[in-house]
Amino acid sequence: MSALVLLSVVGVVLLYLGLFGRRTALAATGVAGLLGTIALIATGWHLESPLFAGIVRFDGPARAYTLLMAGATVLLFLFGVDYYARMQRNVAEQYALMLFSLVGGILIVSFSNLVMLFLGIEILSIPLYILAGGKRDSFRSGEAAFKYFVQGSFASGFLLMGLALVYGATGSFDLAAIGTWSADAAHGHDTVFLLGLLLTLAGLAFKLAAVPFHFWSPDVYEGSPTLITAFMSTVVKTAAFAAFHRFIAALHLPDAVGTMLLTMTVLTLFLGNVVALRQTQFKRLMAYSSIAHTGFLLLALVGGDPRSGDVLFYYLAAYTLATVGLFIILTLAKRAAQGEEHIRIFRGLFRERPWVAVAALLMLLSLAGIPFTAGFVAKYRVFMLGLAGGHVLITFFAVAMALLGIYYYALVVREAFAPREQEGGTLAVAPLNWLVITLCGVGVVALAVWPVALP
Amino acid sequence: MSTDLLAALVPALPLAGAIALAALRRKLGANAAGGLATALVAGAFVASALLFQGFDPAAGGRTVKLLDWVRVAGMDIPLALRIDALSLTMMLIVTGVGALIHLYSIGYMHEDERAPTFFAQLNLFTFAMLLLVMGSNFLVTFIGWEGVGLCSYLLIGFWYKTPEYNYAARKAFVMNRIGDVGMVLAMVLLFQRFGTLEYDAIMDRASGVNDPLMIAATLFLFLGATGKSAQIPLFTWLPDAMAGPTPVSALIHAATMVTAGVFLTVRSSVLFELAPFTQDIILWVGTATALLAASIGLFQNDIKKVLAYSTVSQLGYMFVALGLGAYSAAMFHVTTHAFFKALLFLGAGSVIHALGGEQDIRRMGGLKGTVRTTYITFLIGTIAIAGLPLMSGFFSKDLIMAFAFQRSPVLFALLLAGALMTAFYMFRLLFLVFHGTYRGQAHPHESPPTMTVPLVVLAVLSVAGGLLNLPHLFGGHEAMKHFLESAAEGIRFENLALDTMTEIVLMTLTTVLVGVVIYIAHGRFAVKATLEGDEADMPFLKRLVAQRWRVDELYRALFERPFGWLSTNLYAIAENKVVAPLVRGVGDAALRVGETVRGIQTGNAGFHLLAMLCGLILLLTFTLMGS
Repeated sequence: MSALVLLSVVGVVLLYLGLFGRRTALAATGVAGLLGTIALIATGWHLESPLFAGIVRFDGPARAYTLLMAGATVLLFLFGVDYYARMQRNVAEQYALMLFSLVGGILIVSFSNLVMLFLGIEILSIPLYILAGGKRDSFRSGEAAFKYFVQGSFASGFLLMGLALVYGATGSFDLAAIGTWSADAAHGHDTVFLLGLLLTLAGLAFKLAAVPFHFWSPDVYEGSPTLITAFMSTVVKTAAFAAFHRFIAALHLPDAVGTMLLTMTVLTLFLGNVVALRQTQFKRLMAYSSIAHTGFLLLALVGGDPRSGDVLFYYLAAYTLATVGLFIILTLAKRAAQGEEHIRIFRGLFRERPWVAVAALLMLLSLAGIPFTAGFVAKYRVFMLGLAGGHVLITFFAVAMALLGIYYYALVVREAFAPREQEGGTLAVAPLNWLVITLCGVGVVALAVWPVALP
Repeated sequence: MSTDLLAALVPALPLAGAIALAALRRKLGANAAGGLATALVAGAFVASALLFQGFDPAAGGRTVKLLDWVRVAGMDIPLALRIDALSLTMMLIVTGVGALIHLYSIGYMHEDERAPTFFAQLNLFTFAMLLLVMGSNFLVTFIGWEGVGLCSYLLIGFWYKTPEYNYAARKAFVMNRIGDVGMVLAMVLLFQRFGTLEYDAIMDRASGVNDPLMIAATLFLFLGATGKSAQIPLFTWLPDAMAGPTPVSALIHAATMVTAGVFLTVRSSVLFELAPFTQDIILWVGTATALLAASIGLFQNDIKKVLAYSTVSQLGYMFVALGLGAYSAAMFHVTTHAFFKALLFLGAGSVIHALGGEQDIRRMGGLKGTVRTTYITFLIGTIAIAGLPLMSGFFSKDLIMAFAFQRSPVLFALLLAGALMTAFYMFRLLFLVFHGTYRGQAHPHESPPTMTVPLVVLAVLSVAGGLLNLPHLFGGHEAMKHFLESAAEGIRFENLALDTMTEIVLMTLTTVLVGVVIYIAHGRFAVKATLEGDEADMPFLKRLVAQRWRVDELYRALFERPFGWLSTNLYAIAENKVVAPLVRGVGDAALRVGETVRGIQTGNAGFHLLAMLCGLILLLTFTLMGS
């Protein structure tokens, strides 16, 4: 609980700092608060007490995901020092909103009551709607915020409807109680419960950007400020997946839910990878890549294997590292190319900044799942789970889609290592950014030889 | 300092050097880079010497585990180093001779603009070689094994602007790869049989096993050894490897890497002892290689080629010793050979340096006045390799020949013939280079001290190296043999069971005949310089030998051409006509689908809401219908 309180308080402190114009202290305070949270979580590792009248439970996975999300936020805040340096107004609000959103994320990775799940998702999302519109003078940013809000409200509708039906069928919001209820064979074909589950999952799938609930993601990713895009595709995605897994792992799922998940998996894998092939704008490419990764992550969950929690966590950690680093490099390249986002802005990167190019290469290879990177280990473990769950055909389909995916990552690699035809602005890399990029680049390789398991 | 830390430091220092030099190669000057590289290898030598000093042979070897490396499903392979008599011997040679050659390279490479890269690669080689000899299991050794192969490839082709050099580098690489396949297969077999790749565990479990698998495993290991150590049939790369800078030839292609095969065989001697069939094969391959290479050496005109064939031939002697089960004799010869062959190569390098790049001995001669230190040290090296009494080569080679006599006088006679040829081509080289009158146009000058100091040190070692394993006959205790015996755990050391009289007779016979050969060589090459004419004028047999028994041409006809033909045709037909259109078709199709599906993403929020709703309804219908 102290972690949640600390983060909220730090968020408020940040707002006050902004009010008094202490811009330089913002990132430092935020990072200090996050590190404090990490320390609290890490030292309180052994505690597992239900909080808030049993609607939140900080068990092992909850702590691990909190650490991952807080760690990713630290990286993003460090990047923020340079990113927000040229923004004049409302910087404090951006940091504070990210922290508030993170609080929502922490709540949904530790919920043990469906009301908390809903509240957590809203606490996570509402700051995001504002953050997506963070560039107040940019039309695209405003458009992204609006679209995100409208579609997000829609999805919240699904979620609420689903939760209500689940309550109606089971008479409880408590996850454990619903789990016990659903394990009863007599309730295996309860239509109200089934419909409630499907609607709830659809609402959650919106946050995961799983097809057919993905429509918001390319537009919002593209329109949002890059730092926020990075936040959405790492912290928010991690939170959503952890919550999704927490939900389905606690229940005895009817077969129909399995069918729905498999259908979504196949659709997501297909659409994410295939549409990404034709993307030339880097942020859109990353949006579809994010959808594609949602497909692989779903594949890890559909089998209901007890190991899928470990694999999910590992995959998300690998994905987070690579994504944060790549979005930072994108920002730097975009700045050097006067705001362009076409992948050709990476051209000549290797000549100018060999280390940055090599780090980018490592991260792209990791996303593509090339051996000796964490992304490979992650995909490999997902495929093994898929085979263990008996989904041979779908696993083969996923492998084929992974192969297809190499193409669009390789396109970016090619740009980064091709010589530039004409002179352009040189990439300026601030020391902090360099540090974060290096951490991410080395991290995706180091993680490959250090397999993580959930406590 | 704890032994664990010291042991880790030995390979870590050159590795750090390689990384630092590679990173700073544009910022460092040639001398600074050379100095750093030399200092680090010298540091590794000091660490090895400290380890050696603190090593108690009676207590046996120890394993230093650095970290868990491979640990999956019943396979546990740590990244660990083994410190025992065998690895210490090799470590001292690699770092000691290595440091001298690094020092020498400062002078040799000072004008090359890519000198820092050179030193980075040389340090990387030292690291890989140390990993090879220090590994506590086959896999760690194998990393080193591949690493030295890579560095050898890089350094042979160091002057990559000359196409032939690249060809030579590729040839070395490909031939080594053939050997590597053997090594991998051997590892697989051993793992399958023993469930581990740790040397001590395998040697423990193997003793007493009588199994055809042993023959297969040892034959594969030996195939690996023939690749690295340039034995028949994989020997033709080594002479071509002389394309690299001369210090490379001295370090990699004479003193250290090429002895990796010998090292590996000694390391796994327990296995070889269980496969007498393989031992016989090794014995005869070694003999054949020793003779074949020595005969080719007789008519070569390139100073480095002569030394290269001499190396192949000497390696043959080492394998003869291995085939006879005389492992300590083989290691003894490895050691002395490292001294005198490194000396000879560095001397040759000094000559080449003095003559501004000239390597043809027909355009040398009479250099003993101008390059005095080089001459004296080269002379010492020549005497040592020819095996004149009391020099290091005398003791090590005679030990092998005594073992050979014990097996069969015929073998002894063959090896004696090889030794005589060795004496002949080496003194031919010495006389043609340093005696008589100068036949070239360059202006010879002595090399700088960074180059001559290593020569002098190596010359002293070439003379005194014999003391390491002085036989009882000369009042010694065979110290090296007893030291190596402590290495393990099963390495068996055959005792020489010849009586003193026979030993003296054999030594005298060898010495007298070598003396006669030197006298003949003196007459032909020192008094008057008899140069080889055109190959076309030679009698058939001599021409065949001078053309290196046409082995290269044979390989070209047997392997290169058929494979080249196959490759060209597969490319033209299978690749271009079948595979490529198919692959391209799949890719194009995927791209087209992507283009089409992309159309759904209109950017219209209202449409998206509708699509989401439709998607949900379809999904629900599909799901509920299906259940």
